[in-house]
Amino acid sequence: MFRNISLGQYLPADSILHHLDPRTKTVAGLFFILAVFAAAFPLELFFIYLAGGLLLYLSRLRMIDFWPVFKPFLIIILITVIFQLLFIPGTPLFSFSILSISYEAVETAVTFTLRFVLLLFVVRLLTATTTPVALMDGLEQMLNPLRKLGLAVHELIMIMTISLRFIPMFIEEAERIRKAQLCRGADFRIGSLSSRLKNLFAWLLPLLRSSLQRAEDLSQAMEARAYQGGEGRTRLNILRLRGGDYAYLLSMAALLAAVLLV
Amino acid sequence: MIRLSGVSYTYPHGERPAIKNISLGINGNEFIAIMGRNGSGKSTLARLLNGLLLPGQGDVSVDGLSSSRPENLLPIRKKVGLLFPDPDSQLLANLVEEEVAFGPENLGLEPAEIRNRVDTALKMVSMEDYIKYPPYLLSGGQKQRICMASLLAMQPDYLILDEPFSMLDPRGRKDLLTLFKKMREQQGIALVLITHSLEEAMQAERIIIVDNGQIHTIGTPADIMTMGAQLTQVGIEPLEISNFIGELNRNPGVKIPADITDIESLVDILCPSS
Ligand SMILES: Nc1ncnc2c1ncn2[C@@H]1O[C@H](COP(=O)(O)OP(=O)(O)O)[C@@H](O)[C@H]1O
Ligand SMILES: [Mg+2]
Repeated sequence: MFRNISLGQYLPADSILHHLDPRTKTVAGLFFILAVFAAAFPLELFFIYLAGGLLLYLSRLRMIDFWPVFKPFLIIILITVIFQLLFIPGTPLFSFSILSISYEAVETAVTFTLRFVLLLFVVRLLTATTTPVALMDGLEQMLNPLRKLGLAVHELIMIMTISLRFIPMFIEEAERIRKAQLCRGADFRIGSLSSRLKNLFAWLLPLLRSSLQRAEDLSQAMEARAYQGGEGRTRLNILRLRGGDYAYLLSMAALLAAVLLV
Repeated sequence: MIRLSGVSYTYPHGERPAIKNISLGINGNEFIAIMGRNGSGKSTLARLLNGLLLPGQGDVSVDGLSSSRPENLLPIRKKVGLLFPDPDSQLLANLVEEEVAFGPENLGLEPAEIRNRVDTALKMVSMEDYIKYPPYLLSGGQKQRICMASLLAMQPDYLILDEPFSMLDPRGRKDLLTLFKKMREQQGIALVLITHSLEEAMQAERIIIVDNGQIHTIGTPADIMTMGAQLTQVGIEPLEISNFIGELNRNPGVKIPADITDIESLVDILCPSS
């Protein structure tokens, strides 16, 4: 029940996209998303799809790698599309009895679907070709100037990195405790409201306690290894932009410019 | 040398002191085992040794650096590595190399030096093939090796090992203990091994038995062996061979010394001709 929505795991491969700097991929991804939303139906969107196909080729990923990310959103897309078809007025395309679907509604629904799918595609492309740590490192580098404004950039990123690492463990723990309670006949999805609430707390409290214990253990382990925050800390891997990064950034910027200007 | 003088510690909200008036010296390159029942204060003692906890009374100093001075904490943590019982609670990175690099990064070393230390440390624990591997996919013993490499990469002078075997099978325990002893021989690192197994503790030069937050006994393995039934009173399971010798000595006329710890010596006593 908790595993349904995810942005997907990193999929190691030896591709051009995998080797790009995480900062490049993040910024270029933003350009691409902007282009997706600025692109008009149908011709511009078609070209964006071509560009997407090229990225897919460069990433060496397969279509099937994207499916788990799409699946949970299908229902959202479907509901939105039905609403759009039913309620957007305009030139009638066809109608039976009181039901009438307009030409504009179809165009809106198709455009929406195409854009949404492409949006998920770009996000998945980023998470599949970049490790969470690299993404966070990139973010830290890009946000570093904000430190001058007093923002604790390193600490924020450290919190996010560690959360990323602990989410799978947390989910496992949540399911383990829940199964243990199901064995004892306590299910917070059935029964009277009060018994459901009781069972919900019986599930949340041990989960909270074990999470706090984990946090305490981890902070001790970090401190024991001389962690004192970002001050004076160096990194094993230093991010460096190469020729490929500039080329990639430039082509994405060009794509966005083309969509905006044409 | 790590020196504790009159150290007491009470946890915030703790009713009784977890450590009471302990004085102790741990020499560089020494191998000490700490034993005692659950809740006797072993882990608390371990955390006092690297400045993770600061004594309420008394003083802890590492090579002359007192943990009561905040500016000494970083050098102390660099000198004293602490390995926790559960590897899952100390692994924090998504890749083995990032895990091992974490300590050296905190020390502010140059990237080339960090890379060098990561490679060397992983070789020492024979895990160099897993450098780009996510730690959480490794076995318990492999995880504990990665944690060990993370400490070695900081080039400590003392290693405090807090029940490092509790998550391992007998084979993993043996391998890891061999690794610890190798580190001591090759790198000159002092070992403080907290363990429930007398058999493992026998390999140390000195055994400290902690009970109720105090030092109950300090002695060589041979001294500890002569304690006999007293061992169970402080929560320590005697060696199987000791039980066996005890049984033999019940027979009239049989008098085998109680400090025999290996089967070979026992055989030599029982069959002097061979
Ligand atoms: N975080 C804590 N807060 C309060 N009391 C603690 C805490 N950790 C341990 N204690 C108490 O301190 C005593 C010693 O614990 P510990 O050092 O963990 O023993 P050992 O490692 O020998 O099992 C125990 O009585 C324990 O309940
Ligand atoms: Mg303990």
